[in-house]
Amino acid sequence: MKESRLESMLTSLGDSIDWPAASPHLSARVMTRIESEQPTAASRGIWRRPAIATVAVLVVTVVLVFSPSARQAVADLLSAAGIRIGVTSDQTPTIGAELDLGQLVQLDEVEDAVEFQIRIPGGRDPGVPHAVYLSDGGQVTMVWDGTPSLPAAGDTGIGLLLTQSAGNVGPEFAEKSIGPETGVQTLMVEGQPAHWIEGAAHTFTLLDAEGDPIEETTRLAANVLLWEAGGVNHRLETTGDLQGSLAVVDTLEPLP
Amino acid sequence: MEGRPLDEQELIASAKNGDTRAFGQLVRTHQGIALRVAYLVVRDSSEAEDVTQDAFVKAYRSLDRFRTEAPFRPWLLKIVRNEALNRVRSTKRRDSLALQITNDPVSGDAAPSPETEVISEEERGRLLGLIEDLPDRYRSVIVHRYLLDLSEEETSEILGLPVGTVKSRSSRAMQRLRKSLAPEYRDSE
Repeated sequence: MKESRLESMLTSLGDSIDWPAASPHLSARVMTRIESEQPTAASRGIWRRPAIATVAVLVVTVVLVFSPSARQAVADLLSAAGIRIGVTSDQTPTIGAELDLGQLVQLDEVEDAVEFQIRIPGGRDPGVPHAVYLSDGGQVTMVWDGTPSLPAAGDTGIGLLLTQSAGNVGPEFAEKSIGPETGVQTLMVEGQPAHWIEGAAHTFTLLDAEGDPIEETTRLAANVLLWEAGGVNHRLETTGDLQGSLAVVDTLEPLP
Repeated sequence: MEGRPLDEQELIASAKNGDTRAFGQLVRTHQGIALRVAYLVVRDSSEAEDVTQDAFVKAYRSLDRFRTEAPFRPWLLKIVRNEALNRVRSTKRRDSLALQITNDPVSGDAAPSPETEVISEEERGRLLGLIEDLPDRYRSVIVHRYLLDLSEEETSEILGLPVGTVKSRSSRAMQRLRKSLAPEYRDSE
């Protein structure tokens, strides 16, 4: 295929960039490092002792995990030696960790990682997200624990999940995988057409920032409110009802 | 094409068997492009060299998971880019281009291809500025595809995007660049 003039200009531009040149030591340093890692009979012998130590640490860890009295005894012992440790029984994974939502991040980190303005609920309910995830595709998902007023969905422990990503609901929104046991209601949210999907788990199609369709599946066996505001797709999943979801939307405000 | 994939496969097979000299040859072959990929992310030549070095060591450790018949370069460059991104994330820096035009058009280890367009220094600076102004998602595709002269398939693997997305982003980025360029530099197509 004939290259366009612009393509030719870009290729030419690549040739005139002031790229750094590899230092003469680069390959030598790599070689030194990988050669130092080559396993030898001697090194395999050396690893036996740490392996025994590892087993010992594991035994101690198992005792500590399963025995609160042993944890307290070790804490007291270390405290007597001038070392303070906190004893906690909280061994549960972070909420949402099993849903493959992406990398667990802090809110202030995620702001720099995406090109759109992230908004969070500003009210006391649901309050600050209990966990925030960033996916490779640039989706930001905030997760809140279930509460008595907003029960957790199934055994996920999650009461509310809010996902934001660049794009729009668009005309491609498809109900092809939505069965008869699922209800879809179209309404206006923040001045834009929105969809409230209630009932069984379902798949739907949205458009990403480039206008390419992306197929999505509900994460919770719960209800979903889908809407777009300012070029950002919003997806709120909850066990609660539509009114409660709209109340959360009303409190959304840009991340300070 | 340089007619050397078979040689490279042999080197990879030897390196997998613990032949560090074979891996050293792979390092020397790809260190130039690897350094550029790292530099595009970290924007500091000294740090880019550290990243490249770490990435080669990680690639060596991961060789047993590499399929010998697969293309080596995009696999390696993806490791380099991930290593560079991890550095940037750890320091919370933003990825921007900040490339400079050189007075010596054959800097680095790649010679210009004979078919490339001869453009003035002013045009190069303007084009580079326009690329820098593109949104990240378009800029990264254009930079890998054209400034690094990688194929769509290689760009796809390095950036972790489907080939179709590389094509559509490249096409949209080119449309934006064409709109911004003065009419005399636009294609008549």
